[in-house]
Amino acid sequence: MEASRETTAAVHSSSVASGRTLWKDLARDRYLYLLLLPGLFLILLFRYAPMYGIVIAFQDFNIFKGVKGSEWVGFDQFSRLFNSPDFYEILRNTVLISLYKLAASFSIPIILSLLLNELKHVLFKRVTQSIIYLPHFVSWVIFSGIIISFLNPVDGLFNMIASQFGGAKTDYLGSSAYFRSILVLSDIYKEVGWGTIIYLAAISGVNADLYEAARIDGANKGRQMWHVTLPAIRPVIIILVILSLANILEAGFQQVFLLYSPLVYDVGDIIDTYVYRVGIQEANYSYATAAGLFKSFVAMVLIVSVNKLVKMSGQDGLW
Amino acid sequence: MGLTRGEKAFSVLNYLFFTVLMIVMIYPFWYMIMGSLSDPIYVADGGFFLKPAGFSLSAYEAVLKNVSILTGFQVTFISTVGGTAIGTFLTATTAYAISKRRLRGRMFFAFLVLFTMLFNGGLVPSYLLIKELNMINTYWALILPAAIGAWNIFVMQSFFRGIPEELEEAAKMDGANDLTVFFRIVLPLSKAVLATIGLFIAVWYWNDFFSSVLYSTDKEMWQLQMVLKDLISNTSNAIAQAGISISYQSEVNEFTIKMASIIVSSVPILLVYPFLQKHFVKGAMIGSVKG
Amino acid sequence: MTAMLALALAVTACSGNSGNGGKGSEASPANSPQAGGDAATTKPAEPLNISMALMAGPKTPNSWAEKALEEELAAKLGRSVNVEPVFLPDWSELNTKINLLMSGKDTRPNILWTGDTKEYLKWVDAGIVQDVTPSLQKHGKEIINYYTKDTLFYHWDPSGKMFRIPADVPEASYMTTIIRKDWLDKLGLQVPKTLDEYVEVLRAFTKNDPDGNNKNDTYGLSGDNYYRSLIPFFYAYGVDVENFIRQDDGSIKFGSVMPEVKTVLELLQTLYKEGVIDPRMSTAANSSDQIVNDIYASGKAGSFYRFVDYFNPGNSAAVSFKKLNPDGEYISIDPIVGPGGFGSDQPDPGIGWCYLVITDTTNVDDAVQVLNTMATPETFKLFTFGKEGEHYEMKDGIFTPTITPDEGSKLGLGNFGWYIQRKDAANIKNTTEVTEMFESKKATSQPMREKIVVFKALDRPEWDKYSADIKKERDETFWSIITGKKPASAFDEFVAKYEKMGGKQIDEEAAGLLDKQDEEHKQYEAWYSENIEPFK
Repeated sequence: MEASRETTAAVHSSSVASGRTLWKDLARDRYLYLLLLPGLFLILLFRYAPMYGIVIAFQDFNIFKGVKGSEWVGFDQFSRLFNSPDFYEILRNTVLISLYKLAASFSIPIILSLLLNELKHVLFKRVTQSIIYLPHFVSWVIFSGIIISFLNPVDGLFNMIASQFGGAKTDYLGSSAYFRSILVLSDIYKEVGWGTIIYLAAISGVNADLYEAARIDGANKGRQMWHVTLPAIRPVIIILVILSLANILEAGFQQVFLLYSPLVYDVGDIIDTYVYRVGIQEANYSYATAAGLFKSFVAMVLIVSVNKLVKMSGQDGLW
Repeated sequence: MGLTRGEKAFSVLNYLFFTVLMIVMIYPFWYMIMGSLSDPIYVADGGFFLKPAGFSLSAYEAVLKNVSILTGFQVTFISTVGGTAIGTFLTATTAYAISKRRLRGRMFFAFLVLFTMLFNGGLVPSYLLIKELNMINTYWALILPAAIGAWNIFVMQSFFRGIPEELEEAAKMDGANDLTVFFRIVLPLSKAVLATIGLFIAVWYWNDFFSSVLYSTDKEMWQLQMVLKDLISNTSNAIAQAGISISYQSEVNEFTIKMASIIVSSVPILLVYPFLQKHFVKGAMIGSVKG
Repeated sequence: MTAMLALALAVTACSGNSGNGGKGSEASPANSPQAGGDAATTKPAEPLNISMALMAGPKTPNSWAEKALEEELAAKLGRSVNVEPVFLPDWSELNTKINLLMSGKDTRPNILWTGDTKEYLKWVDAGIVQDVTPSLQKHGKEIINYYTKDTLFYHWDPSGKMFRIPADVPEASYMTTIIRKDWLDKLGLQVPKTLDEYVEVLRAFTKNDPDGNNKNDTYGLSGDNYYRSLIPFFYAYGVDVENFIRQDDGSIKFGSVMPEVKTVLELLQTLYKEGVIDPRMSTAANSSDQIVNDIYASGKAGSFYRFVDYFNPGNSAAVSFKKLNPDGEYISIDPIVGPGGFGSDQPDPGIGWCYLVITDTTNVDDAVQVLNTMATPETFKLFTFGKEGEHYEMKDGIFTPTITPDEGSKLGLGNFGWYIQRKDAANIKNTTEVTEMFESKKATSQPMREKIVVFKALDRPEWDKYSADIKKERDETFWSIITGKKPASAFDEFVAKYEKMGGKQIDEEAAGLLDKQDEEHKQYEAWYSENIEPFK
């Protein structure tokens, strides 16, 4: 399979030179372009046509003056963001929280799907799958309420249990030591089951003969997972990791916003919550757009570089 | 095919682990169901970690009797079905095209797609576009702008790349073109990923409320989640503004309403996954390849 | 996927819509000179279509309330009226929707309801909202009689025009110190009057097992996690940390940096440590009203600073409390008095938290006539509560609905709320007792009303620029002190930082604005006696 790909690629690159082959290639792949067309059309129409709106990050935008009429302020909005007193703190919080989440959201669903795959009882397996993805459907508004009812220092379940055993009551949500862990753990809890779906789809495509061959070679379950399943789903894992870099500066606005308080600003205030508070104060769309653009730019740079690294290592990247 | 002792032990532990995990994971839904069945008067006392506080169906009554709940269900149902069909199909065609290494301009197209994952023009330009297209208060506005997304395209592309090239080449030997290969070979082999991406898209549409905010001025075109969000927000605000405004819902409790509306709105979409699971049967692809 | 949330904030660009909006109003009869004639009577009785953006109530399309209103309007205006409601989405998306609706002339409602004050300036600039003064003079008697001179001042434009009409102006004060009467009796305590007495009562509520269950499970004070819940403490020292406060020497100062705040924070720190203050008040746990209502109803805390509405028998928290604590009784008490003899309830600035604008898409006379009709007590009562005898009964001044809330929602009762929201006798929902309570709050909130500076200006660039960072620093410091995370000396560091963080600019701007405002007020007095007074 690998070999045949490489030959196609080789044939392809050797024939690029002349213009005639271009037309030949286009004609040869006319049906592929036909397949590409409708999707491309939607993207151009609904995503690129409104793209001019990005420039308002460089403006002091007024909706009634429009993009054309609003005053240009260059990089003022950006420098205001970077020069805000706590910029370092909120950037650090954002990156740390999202990195923890990224690491968890990449590794735990893989492990879970490998284990799920070992459940031989079909009904049990299906019921399990259908239940562990339930928390994904609980919105953060509700879920934060549940977290609070478990962790609050007065009648929270954790504290009630602790006090049964004579323990002291702890204000988990108001404690800088616990806050990030609460964010990360609750995020794992909520999204881990949902995250397994895609890997289960990938695992279902693995050739059953390979397992048989591995068994005959005397490989136990662990070795089968390591030597058969994981390599087979590696391309999907790589793509998902690259794509998840898009969220490198997205630490989860709703979740943080619903759970934080001034007591944990030092560890919990992130770019989005900060910009939100400023925005509420000023109704400043340009500022919010500038912050968004900054986040997207960082993510873009990361994705493109990691994609390059992946391809250099001989794996399939995004393109 | 006998299992070794180690494998047996692993298997038992594995079943045990997932049994515990299920109990842990079902809890938030349990909590919501108990909350939604609680008597608003006793909610204040807490204590429904395991069972409802008192018993009352008033929250479900309030949700199901809401004047806009039926139109909400209808709008969401139509846009979910339409959006999922269009979205899944176009995601597949686009992903298939850019998965082909030989395609000229492939990198350009892929980048074009990726760029939209990170950058967007914002709300007003999108709104003005929909207005220009005369799509305000139509299903098209709720369906088309979100039909295909970069993330889904790339994930689907990576699955397509896993399909052995030999299959395609064999078909081409028999005179098939790219269209027939795509429809006759690639799509049937990709049921698992089509089901997965289809599910993701369906869930997205089902949970969408923001398209209504932007593109519906008529309440008859509000999506379900929008109707429920408004119901909850209105209940809570009636409470927040207590004393400075009139609340006609003072007998209704924001908490129970919230819980009941989540149960009501999520049950239909939760039923989708179990039906899709048959496409995740192990070795599905290989079976077809052999056959 | 990315930036979806930032998106929600970032209402972005608008294309070439700018030039053509707004000029339409010049053609309307409102701006053409009319020598005192009554426009409505001279016009042919063509049907009137009027679209209104609506936020309150159940948002029922094609409702009974809508029809009832249309009939009333037709009778009073002498022409058939078609009301077209434009239902606004829920709060989190409200401003986004309003911006989009206002961006195009074809989507602009004739009458817009809004609570956002910042965008309004842009509408005036763009010329898409109309001056209502001449129409108010002709058709707005009910409106100008209902709103006070002070309220209208904040809606008046220094150019001598009025581009907006207040919609819902809260009562003079709608919050009060609430205390458990039965706990006081049980523990043999008097109703506290001074801060010292109040603190002792709270301590007793915490430690002396007032609910008699032999468990240490009660708190002296609970409430939401905003500063307003701590008002009995702050106001006893005459400080409000959210506002500029008039000082004895006539200058003004941001409340958060007044030295009295440190004293209050020290006291709160002690009380927090002793377990008198519900620790949930310092975290996200008590961020929603629903949760605080539940705490109120559960009866595990002895005192709150909260809504007068809790004393309306139909209030859900009150109902719940009665069921859970049959012997319990909350009472509202006079403001706690501090060592300096000062005490006050929280005054409402009297500006109104939402307002109406009439856009360039309709005849302003027509719109004002509609609003004025809606403001008459009979019409207001009709679309708010329904028909007496059919939907509710009045017995001895007590309002009893004879329909369920669901039926009320179906009828669309409340749909037209927050328009010209009457808080006087027409608000028949209040019991006589509660109405009296609101009445008495005018006096009890007066001391602080005199101290708090209310700025009329919407445009406060320095405040906008620096306040988010300052508030963050303040909230971090104050709550850290209260919970004992930091010593009280952290307050001094905050005050020192305040200057550097832009506090200086904010203070200067505030002083300048206040001077300007006094000047404006003089102009307004003249304008009012000329343009409004004679037309009352």
